[in-house]
Amino acid sequence: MSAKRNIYILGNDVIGAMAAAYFAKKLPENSFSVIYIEGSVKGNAEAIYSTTNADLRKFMLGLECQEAQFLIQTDAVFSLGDRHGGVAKQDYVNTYCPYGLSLEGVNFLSVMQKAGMTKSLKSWEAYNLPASMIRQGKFNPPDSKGRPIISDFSYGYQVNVKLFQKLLREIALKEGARLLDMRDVKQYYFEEDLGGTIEFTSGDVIHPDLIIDACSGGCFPYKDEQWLPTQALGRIFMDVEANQVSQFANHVHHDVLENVIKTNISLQSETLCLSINEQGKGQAYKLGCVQKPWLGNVVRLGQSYGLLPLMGAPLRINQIAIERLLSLFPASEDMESERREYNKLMRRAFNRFEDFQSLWLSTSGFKLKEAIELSEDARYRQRLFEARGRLPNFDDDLLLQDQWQSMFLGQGVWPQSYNHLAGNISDDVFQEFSDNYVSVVTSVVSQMPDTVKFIEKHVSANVAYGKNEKQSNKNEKEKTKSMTSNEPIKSVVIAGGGTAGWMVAAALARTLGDSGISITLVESDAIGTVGVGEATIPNIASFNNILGIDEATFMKATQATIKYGIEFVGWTQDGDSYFHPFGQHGHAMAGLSFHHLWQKLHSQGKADRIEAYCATAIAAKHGKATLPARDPKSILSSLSHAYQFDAGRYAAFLRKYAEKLGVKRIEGKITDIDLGVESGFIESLILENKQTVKADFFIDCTGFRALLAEKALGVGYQDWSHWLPCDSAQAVSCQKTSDALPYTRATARKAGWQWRIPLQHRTGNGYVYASDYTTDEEVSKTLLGGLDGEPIGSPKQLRFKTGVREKLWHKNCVAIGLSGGFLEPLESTSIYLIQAGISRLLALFPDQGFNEFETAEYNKIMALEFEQVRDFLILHYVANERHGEPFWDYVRNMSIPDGLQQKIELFKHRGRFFRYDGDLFTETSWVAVFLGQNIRPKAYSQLVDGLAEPQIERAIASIKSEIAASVSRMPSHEEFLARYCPAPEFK
Amino acid sequence: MKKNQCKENLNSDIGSVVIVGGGTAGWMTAAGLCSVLSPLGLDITLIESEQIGTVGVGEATLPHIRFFNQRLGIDENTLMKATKATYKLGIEFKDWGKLGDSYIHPFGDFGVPEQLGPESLFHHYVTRAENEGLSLNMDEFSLPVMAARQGRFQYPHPDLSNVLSTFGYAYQFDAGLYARFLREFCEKRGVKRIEGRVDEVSQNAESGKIKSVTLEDGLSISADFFVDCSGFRGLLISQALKTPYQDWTKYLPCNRAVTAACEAVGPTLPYTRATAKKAGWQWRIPLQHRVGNGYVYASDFISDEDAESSMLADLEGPQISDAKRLRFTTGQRQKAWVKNCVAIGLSGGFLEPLESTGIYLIQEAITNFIEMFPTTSDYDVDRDEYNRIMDIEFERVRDFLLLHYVATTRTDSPFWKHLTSMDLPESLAHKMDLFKSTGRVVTYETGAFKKPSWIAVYYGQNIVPNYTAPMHQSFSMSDLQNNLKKTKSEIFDAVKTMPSHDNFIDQHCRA
Repeated sequence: MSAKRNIYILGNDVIGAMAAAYFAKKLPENSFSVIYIEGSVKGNAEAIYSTTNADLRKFMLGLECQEAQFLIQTDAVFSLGDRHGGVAKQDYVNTYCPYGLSLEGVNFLSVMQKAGMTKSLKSWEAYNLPASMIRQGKFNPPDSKGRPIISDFSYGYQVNVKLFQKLLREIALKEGARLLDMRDVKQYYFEEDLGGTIEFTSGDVIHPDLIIDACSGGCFPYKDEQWLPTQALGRIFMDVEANQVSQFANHVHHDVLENVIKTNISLQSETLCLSINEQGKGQAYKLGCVQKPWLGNVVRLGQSYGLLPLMGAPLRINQIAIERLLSLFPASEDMESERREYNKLMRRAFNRFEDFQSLWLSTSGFKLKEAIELSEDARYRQRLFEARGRLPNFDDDLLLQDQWQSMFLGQGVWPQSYNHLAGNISDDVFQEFSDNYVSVVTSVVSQMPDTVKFIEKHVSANVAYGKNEKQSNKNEKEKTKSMTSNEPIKSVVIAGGGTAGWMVAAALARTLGDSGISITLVESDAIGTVGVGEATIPNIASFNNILGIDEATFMKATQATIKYGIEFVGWTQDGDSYFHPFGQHGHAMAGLSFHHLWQKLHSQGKADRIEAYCATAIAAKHGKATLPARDPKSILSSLSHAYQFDAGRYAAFLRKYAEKLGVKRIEGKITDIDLGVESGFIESLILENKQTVKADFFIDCTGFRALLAEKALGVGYQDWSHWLPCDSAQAVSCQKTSDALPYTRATARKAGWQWRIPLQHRTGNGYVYASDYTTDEEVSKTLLGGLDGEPIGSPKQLRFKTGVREKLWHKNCVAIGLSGGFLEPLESTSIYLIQAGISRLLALFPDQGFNEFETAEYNKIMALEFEQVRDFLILHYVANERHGEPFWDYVRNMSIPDGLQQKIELFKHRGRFFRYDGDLFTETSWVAVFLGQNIRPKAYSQLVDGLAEPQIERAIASIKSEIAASVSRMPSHEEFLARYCPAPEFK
Repeated sequence: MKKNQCKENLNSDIGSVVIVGGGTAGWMTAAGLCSVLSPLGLDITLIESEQIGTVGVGEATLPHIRFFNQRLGIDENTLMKATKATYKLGIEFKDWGKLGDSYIHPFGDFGVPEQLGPESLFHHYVTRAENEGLSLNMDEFSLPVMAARQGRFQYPHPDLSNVLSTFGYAYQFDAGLYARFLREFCEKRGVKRIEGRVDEVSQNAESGKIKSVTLEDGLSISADFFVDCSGFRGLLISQALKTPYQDWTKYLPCNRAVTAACEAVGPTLPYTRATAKKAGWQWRIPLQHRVGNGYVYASDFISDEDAESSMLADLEGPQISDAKRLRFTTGQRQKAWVKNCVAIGLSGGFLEPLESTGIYLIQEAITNFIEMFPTTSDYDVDRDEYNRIMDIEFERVRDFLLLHYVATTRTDSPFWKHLTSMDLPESLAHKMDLFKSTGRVVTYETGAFKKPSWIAVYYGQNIVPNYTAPMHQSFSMSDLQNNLKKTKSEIFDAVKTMPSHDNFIDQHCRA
């Protein structure tokens, strides 16, 4: 047996680790030594390598790394495709999935064209399951039984590249790779025929059998003329001016869950690619690749080899390179055949990606496209597609035909004619197929869990694996910690009653009640709750549904009224008002959101205010109310409501509910909290009467005081008052003097705003203000002066700090309610945020090991929830026109979060809005507030011109008249309440 | 009236097609077009003359033929009865790598299901074993080969994890009867048949497009589009449109054949045989009622008379038809689609039937033509795509055929000396080099023969890579032997359960 052959891998980012893991795993140890020389990370590989496609799963399985383990360790989320916003005329997604299915052997595209489908991609997306999933933020893996539609897609991931690199490095070492440090290398020598030689500081000089150089820039002194800049992208971005760079960066947004790395790609100069990470820091890369990646005994990989952005190409090309290298692994020193084949295959694979990118650019909306030179293959592809919707079946194409098709369609390249064979498919057959397809997609997607939920479930179901690994591998600290175990939680204590406390208690009792867990709530009657009228948003219905609470019963018990939305008075100037409805404006036509159509007519003076086209808003204005119609054809099916209710009564109602399900209530004030000496976990609460309340798990619902989270555990608070400067409120109820309105009103005041919430028995009022700009006395005068009935008692003074706790879940304590964070009730989100906290807690309910990944996931998701609500609230302030009032001048001129700025700019430009995953508020909500605050698009979407104007006019007019007719037949709000849910007379 | 309607449905400027020439190509084209395009209103006319014979010996096919028939909605058993067909599991090659060799190129993979898939590693095991000095009989590692050797047949098992699913099948049938069967099929669906010889072709002076063809009796038939199925003569594509022919004789020197049918002796074999001879090779195609035979040879290396007597000498049973002589030039029409004419069948190109690709290439031509059928008067893009794909098909089949001739150590005649000393086309040289040095088969998207076929011929003709994939070096020899033994016995046990080919024909399609 000859001596072992040695393969040296040089790397300083994820690609080197990938090669090391792969070769250590695949090459038999008895014949090969794999040596991984690691350098410190140069540059920022995160952005460019974060997107993967479906093949990475196979790659990782080949390394015996299961998906759940991979997800946990790399912080990965699923990626169903790439979303291209602002690239072409339309926002489109490119998934690993065809549109529709071929019908009787005829390509679906042709079938659809024959059936007269429009060019609007939105209507097409109904035929692409993952596109619907992406749009709705849902996820489920493909069905494994090879069934049509539900098995026909695949998915990749968005990974945290640094964690991914770490995982691969661990695998490499486990598989026997020897690790060296790049600082141990003194010098690299390179000759084109001979290849590379490495001299170590120890004096050893070696000429390995094979070297993989995956270091950015390359370790060896290669000759420069080897480099081939990319044909399209490289050249084109010479013309990009500095200010366009950032604009471009925001145009290509891959569909990522927020707060996971965003990949924004743009170009800076001739062969540079600029990636901008979340913090806005940029990093430049050279675009293109070397002509022959394999010279002598050296194979160049990663950024030493080359780089192309888009469609996950950076990671994909390197993965293919690594796999090909193994299948062409040289058997001896003479590696000429292998080298030639490898270089040829890589050249072609790279060219295909280049073709994709040059076509992507040349069909984009960017001005720069004029300068693109397409390769012959690329021109051929486009010509063939444009003529008949066909795609050539080229060899060695790493991109799927579906991806090419999506790109062309998404960028508006439409075939001039369809495949004549589509003529054989009758309209009936097509219609049946189409209806069936769409209904399968709709129902399948509606039954899928939210992406976040799926990941939570998937990861938590498998988390035991990750944890065991951890324990056995490292972290002695954990061993000493008494808390570390897989034992289920046996006892939960909720500190604090009030709305948050009892909501948590009810939900835990309902979902965990039968598991033998003990649930205790500690509250003191001596500590009051805010307990004024509280307004909600429609999501509360789903919380009540989980608890199995009947709507009418609940409304009766809490003196609730119907809430159709919020009227904002004086937010631009005094005298202005607009309505933010819960139900949608009009309805989409030909895949275009209503507001685009409306925008066009309105700009010509041919349409009323947008509210006139919203059944929910018109019903509210007329003081009418009813349940949404079940018939989807009725305009009243678009009604959507929340409630205005007495939060104190809601808490009482839930208390009764929870106690019935076995929740134990302890009366008493918490005076002290015991922490474990080593772990720092909360062990027990000490009450005023010296009673000790022990538990495995604590929920802090103690309100602003945050007794557990802040006082005991010392978790910090993120202050957002520079964006939302209101820090006080006074609240008071007043007598009801007229019929209860089915909506809440928020009126702008000198230093804040005033709410008015009508309940069945009285009306809640409050003035939210910034104490820097007014005095408590002045506020109290304004508040009492603006009531429409006799006040009931005197105003209650409240102080708060807008913001969110740094970690909502820390150790064995979760803060829910005001203890977790506070956002003023301008959009009635307080109860929603409690609800979100509860549902995430249930999804990630811990065991006694308190897995750090679960905790981190909870914190990440909840932080996102808070930020999204925060941005929406800021929008109301920033666009005011109340010049001369110091408070309003401040908020108009303050700097705002980037995400919000982007949303505003996008809307201003052409009325575009995209709902991100996890966005609480819908397109209707944002549009209502944008327009209400006089943020108006400069131009309407060009796609509207694709529809005949008289057709739009007719459609819009008919929506309005249909609404008027339907609303006139609705009962009044009071009549509805009296019939549906009359509350007992209030004394 | 009809024409207008047709244009509307077809969304096409092409409302009528004339096919010149019957025979297998002509009637297959007519059948393909009429099943899909007649419902859209396309007018199809076929002109043929009974005076012009067709080759009409037994013909062997590739499994693709089944999909063609399925698309036409033809019941397999009915078709097999009508064409006196037998089932075909592959081709036996005798005396190719060296005298005395025999291997079967099966319609299936080597190995059992768990060893298959795109990353199939089975041939690496074999390579390793051979390099370690074990002598293996490859036949034993392929279910279809073992079934063929034992004269057994049944349909592939639908469950892909069952070893009985690891193959496909084709037919051996009477091509003349197949054409007749399809003619009936077409005429029922409105294809107009005109008896007569084409005497003159008239073209548009300006565009050069074919306007009409005139028959000997003076009847003139015009159409929007023409399909040339006139055989080697290339009446339209060559004689009228002057499209040159690319001659590949320098690679594949055989240019003649002599054929005859004989009575079958012994059970009906579910495979075709190709025996290498002094100046070419001889086929043996068993049908239900007789056996087709033919000697394909290079006239530079043997006289017609010698070839005929050699062919007759090798018949296994009494001769039942006169010997027929055929001439051909191996190659491809430089462009099979020119202006408003596409050449399908021998007019488009000819490759000797060593791997039964004659009907396959016709079928690909038809399928692609239907797919690219022009719907506007400007159809350059359709034409270019058609020609591009057909060029790839022809070239890849050519390389595969050539492999059989050059992967040999035979030097026992001037013919073989010539072949083993010739310069290979770059595309084939690359494939062979790569396989020899790395065990890797060049993969591609378009083309009849994929990885398993290349491997079957490489190993069958004694090309074993001087290479062991690094990931297999760790296998101990005993592991390897156990693995191979297990594979062998799984296949052996499964084959025993299959009925004999004759029994199976009796049950399903005896004519």
